[in-house]
Amino acid sequence: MADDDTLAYLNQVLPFDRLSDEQRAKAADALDVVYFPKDATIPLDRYESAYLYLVIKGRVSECHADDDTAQCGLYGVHAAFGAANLLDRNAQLTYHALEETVAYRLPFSVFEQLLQSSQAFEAFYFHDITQKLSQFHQQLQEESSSEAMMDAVSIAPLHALIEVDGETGLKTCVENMHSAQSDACVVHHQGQIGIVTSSDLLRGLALENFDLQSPVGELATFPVITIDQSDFLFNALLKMTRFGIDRLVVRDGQALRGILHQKELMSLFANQSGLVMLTLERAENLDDLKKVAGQIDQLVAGLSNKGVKTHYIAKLVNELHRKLQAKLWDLLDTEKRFDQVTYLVMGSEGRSEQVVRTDQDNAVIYPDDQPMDGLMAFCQQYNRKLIEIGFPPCPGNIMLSNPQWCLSEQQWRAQLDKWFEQPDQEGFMALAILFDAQVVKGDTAPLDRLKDDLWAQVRKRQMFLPHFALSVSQFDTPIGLFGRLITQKDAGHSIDIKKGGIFPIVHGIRCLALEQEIEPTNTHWRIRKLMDLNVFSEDFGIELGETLNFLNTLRLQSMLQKGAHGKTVDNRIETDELTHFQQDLLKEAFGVVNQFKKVIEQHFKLESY
Amino acid sequence: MWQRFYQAWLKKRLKDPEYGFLFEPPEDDAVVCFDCETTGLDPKRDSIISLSAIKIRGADILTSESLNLTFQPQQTVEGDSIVIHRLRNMDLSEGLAPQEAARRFLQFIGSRPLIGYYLEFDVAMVNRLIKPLLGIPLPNTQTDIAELYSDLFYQPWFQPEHEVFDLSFQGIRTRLELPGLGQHDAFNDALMTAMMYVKLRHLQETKHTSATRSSTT
Repeated sequence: MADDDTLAYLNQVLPFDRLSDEQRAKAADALDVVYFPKDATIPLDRYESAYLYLVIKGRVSECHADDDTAQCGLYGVHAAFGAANLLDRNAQLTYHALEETVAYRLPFSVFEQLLQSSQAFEAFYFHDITQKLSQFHQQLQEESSSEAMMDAVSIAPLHALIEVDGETGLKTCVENMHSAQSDACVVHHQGQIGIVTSSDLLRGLALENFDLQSPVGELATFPVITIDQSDFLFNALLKMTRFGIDRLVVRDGQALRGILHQKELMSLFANQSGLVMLTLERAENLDDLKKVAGQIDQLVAGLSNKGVKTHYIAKLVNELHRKLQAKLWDLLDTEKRFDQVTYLVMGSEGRSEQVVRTDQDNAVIYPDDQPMDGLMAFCQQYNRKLIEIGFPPCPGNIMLSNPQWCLSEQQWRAQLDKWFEQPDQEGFMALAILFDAQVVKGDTAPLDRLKDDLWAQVRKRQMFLPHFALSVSQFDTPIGLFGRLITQKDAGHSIDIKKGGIFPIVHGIRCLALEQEIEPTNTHWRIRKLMDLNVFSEDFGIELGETLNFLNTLRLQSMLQKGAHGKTVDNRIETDELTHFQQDLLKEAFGVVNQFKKVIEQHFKLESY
Repeated sequence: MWQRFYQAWLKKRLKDPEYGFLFEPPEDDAVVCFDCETTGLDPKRDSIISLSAIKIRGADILTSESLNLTFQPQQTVEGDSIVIHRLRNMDLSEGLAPQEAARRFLQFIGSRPLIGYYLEFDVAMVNRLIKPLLGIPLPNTQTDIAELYSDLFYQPWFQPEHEVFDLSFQGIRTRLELPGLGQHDAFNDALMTAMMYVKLRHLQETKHTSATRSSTT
């Protein structure tokens, strides 16, 4: 007889809430009630006491059989425990009642039947971390109101697609556009696909002496930038921002479907991301830029609450930060004295992984043959203004205002040589930061040449990479031999999540990327490339990417929370504030980090160093 | 001594030899906790609506093997007890005949000791069904939670004179810090009584061991 109270109880216990009514009734019928006084050991093994327990009242600690003093889990009311011992032959966990405990007890045989009869129930216990994490995100997203950003491009209103041949005269082209009420037209010209807009046509006719019969191909822009209709709207916005364009041609596989205009895209968002973009476009002075910086922070908090993956938030925010920095350069260099100069962001900014502005790493490369009077003074002014806008200075002084990071291309080459010839900790760090650099303003060629140089240096020095990779294992992963979290002894039982998990992944991937001469700087994109190159398996790559994303999400959430409460924003997360599910995921995430450290150790044969 | 004599006397008067097992040694070391919901509080006039019995082995309450019986209505349920148990007459129409219910109950308990809260009342209710069958009342040993509780907690020299020692079900449950189980029905009441028993037994044991420890030192 399954009574209503027991059923109602089960409905509140993960994952019994996923069972059908019938399955839940079956579970309820098999439950016994057991009592444990404070400090009692709760019997649990795979033989005599093969049970799953569900706490009705009290608190239960989980410890490793070989070390009773360190607690690795805590179960309160509505929590189920014991599955680890039942399902994992290697698990050796012991359980104690921290306070007087009353619990339901489910025999293993019934638990097994439930696993077999319900996929959702089974998934809870057997899915690997990748699947669990994506469920975690799905859940976050379900909890949030529908966010247009995460919708597919296909839901956006599109302008009609007009396609003409490059030889078509301007008049015919305008007639076509007029009848379809569109202001852009796709042009096929000499095997290329381009686009021509009404403003292109006006410019051609009014300013560049084209006439109505001139072929449209000469006015069009090639190649046209496209986006797949199954892609996120979010990525459409990203592409428009990145290329500084108003329109994207939407395709379905290879077939073109229509034209997406920024106006319609913005109306879909109707939120801050569009606003930030517009304010940035129109910014005319430093105050405007400060406003933009504030809006970006609000945007981050908003997107994070809505469960948008941190990886995507980071991409958008970094795109905006770069636009902002380029704009600042333009505002300060009114006479365009330094157009020949290449301005780089490096480190986490270069990797597009800095979401909350914690520090700036930037540098300048200037041409060898040009006199650069006043550049140093300009860089120092730029640096002051950037700090004023809200980019905190780099504690290691890796900034363009430092003469060591404001060099001509020749000087850079000499500097590289020095770093490689006399390797020390500082040189390693400088190289790591430089390798993640990306151009924000100016010619990209000097940086490309510098990276070619860097790769060449690495290639000819076999000993370099193993030494460079050593710091992957510099910090211990905060997880014990049998999977418990090792926290600081402070009030919130905190963990430095950057040292413990993010740095090892980012740096390990950087080492592999250096070895394979991979161009993208973002860790997720590097992982993708490494998967394509079969450096590691598709499964492991995805697992690693999801793990990094999860760790970054925890870090971002904690940073936002600390910022909102006026506390110092750092890399510590308080484990006491995590849900049980998050703690479990964190343990598994650190497991992946350890696995990855081993991969790096074996790959670079670090045992011998 | 008196108990053995009484048992022997009852055994002699047992009408139906089929129930001789009530006088055999129990088949296991379990005890049975049970509770009845009745139409009223007069054992002579009122009848049982539902009965739940749960075995307890050590500190384990075997709810999965519980006995839950619903009885055919003997008389109309009075307004008051409907409010308490939320059982309407139409809910009871599918119940068991008294004799059948009594047989199942006896099979379930065997010769195990019985546990209950104000057990005397519940036993009196059950005896009304059993006597026509066996010719005798329930021969099992009985432990009343209220007695067990006051043995452990009642301290006459400590009790303020103007206050009555709280022996209400709710009072005991709260003092023992046990979780409430939502609705009042035979099953939940039996289960809560079982929890009280398990906890009181535990307190008894620890009191005993600490007493022996202090006496040896």
